Amino acid sequence: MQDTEDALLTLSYLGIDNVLVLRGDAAKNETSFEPEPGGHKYAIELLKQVMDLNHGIYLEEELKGTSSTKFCAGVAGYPEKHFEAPNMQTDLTNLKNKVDAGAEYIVTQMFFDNKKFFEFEKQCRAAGITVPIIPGLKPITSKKQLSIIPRTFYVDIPTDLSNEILNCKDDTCVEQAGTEWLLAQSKELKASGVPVLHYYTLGKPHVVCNVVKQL
Amino acid sequence: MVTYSKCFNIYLRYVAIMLSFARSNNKRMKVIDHIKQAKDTLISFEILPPLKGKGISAIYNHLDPLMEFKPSYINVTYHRSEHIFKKKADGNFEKVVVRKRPGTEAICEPVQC
Repeated sequence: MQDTEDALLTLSYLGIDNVLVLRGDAAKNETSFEPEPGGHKYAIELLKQVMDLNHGIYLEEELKGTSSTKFCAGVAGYPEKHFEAPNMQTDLTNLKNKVDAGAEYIVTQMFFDNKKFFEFEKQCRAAGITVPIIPGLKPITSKKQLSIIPRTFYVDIPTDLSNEILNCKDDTCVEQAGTEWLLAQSKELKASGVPVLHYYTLGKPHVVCNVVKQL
Repeated sequence: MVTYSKCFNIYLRYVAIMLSFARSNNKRMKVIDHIKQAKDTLISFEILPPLKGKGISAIYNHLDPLMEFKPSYINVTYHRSEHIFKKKADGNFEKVVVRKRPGTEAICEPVQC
């Protein structure tokens, strides 16, 4: 916790006022996430620490009110449910708790089926979550991703997209299909009035460029 | 979420913060203010710090084509350290801690400019 506090102060000194607060994955060779001794188990605990600092509440009580940070915090939302959540309703309650704890916007896990995003958005609003919800988008550029993405991120790839990619003879064709899909997703989301299109560019900037160019 | 972002070494290996920074005429701005003031759909990107050994130019090469679209903010992911087991000459294994993509906060500085 002390390390976190110091790190947050470092960020504030660097002029960084925006943080996206995530728990993080399990270590590569561990099957489930284990916090450091005394560490946060959930993103909301980290979020509360960030909000405390925004209110001038430090780990050392004597420092209370001396100065405060001005972080704007975002949190993660899962249109297809966080893989460790027992059900969608519980996951939405957890998300609502994060927003109530001070998160100002939500960025979603990647998804490839806009219907899942729209449904999620509806469920969030019904649960009383009113902050902006930003869709997270990622291009598919290789056949391997058809199994890697579901395994890593616990999201489905729609049949139309997977069929198209499986029918491709080479990488250029896969990239073309992935780009077109992402463009169609982006256009529909934009038309629906989402505040931001957030791209997980991760090593494929040209694909994302081609999409954004055509928006 | 796609990345398991940062924080700060020892303890925060297990927690994550992704640093986003917003830019507007070089003024510090919050993501939420960008959204509130937007007249159209905004664009944002997420980047990873370069793999150790690639150097900072890897980030510039990655970002150059994207900057044309004037992203409202860019997220820089944080990557926890991992431990791996390396086989030694005597056949035993040695536990080694590695961080493949260090430098999250530092990346924000040049990219903000």
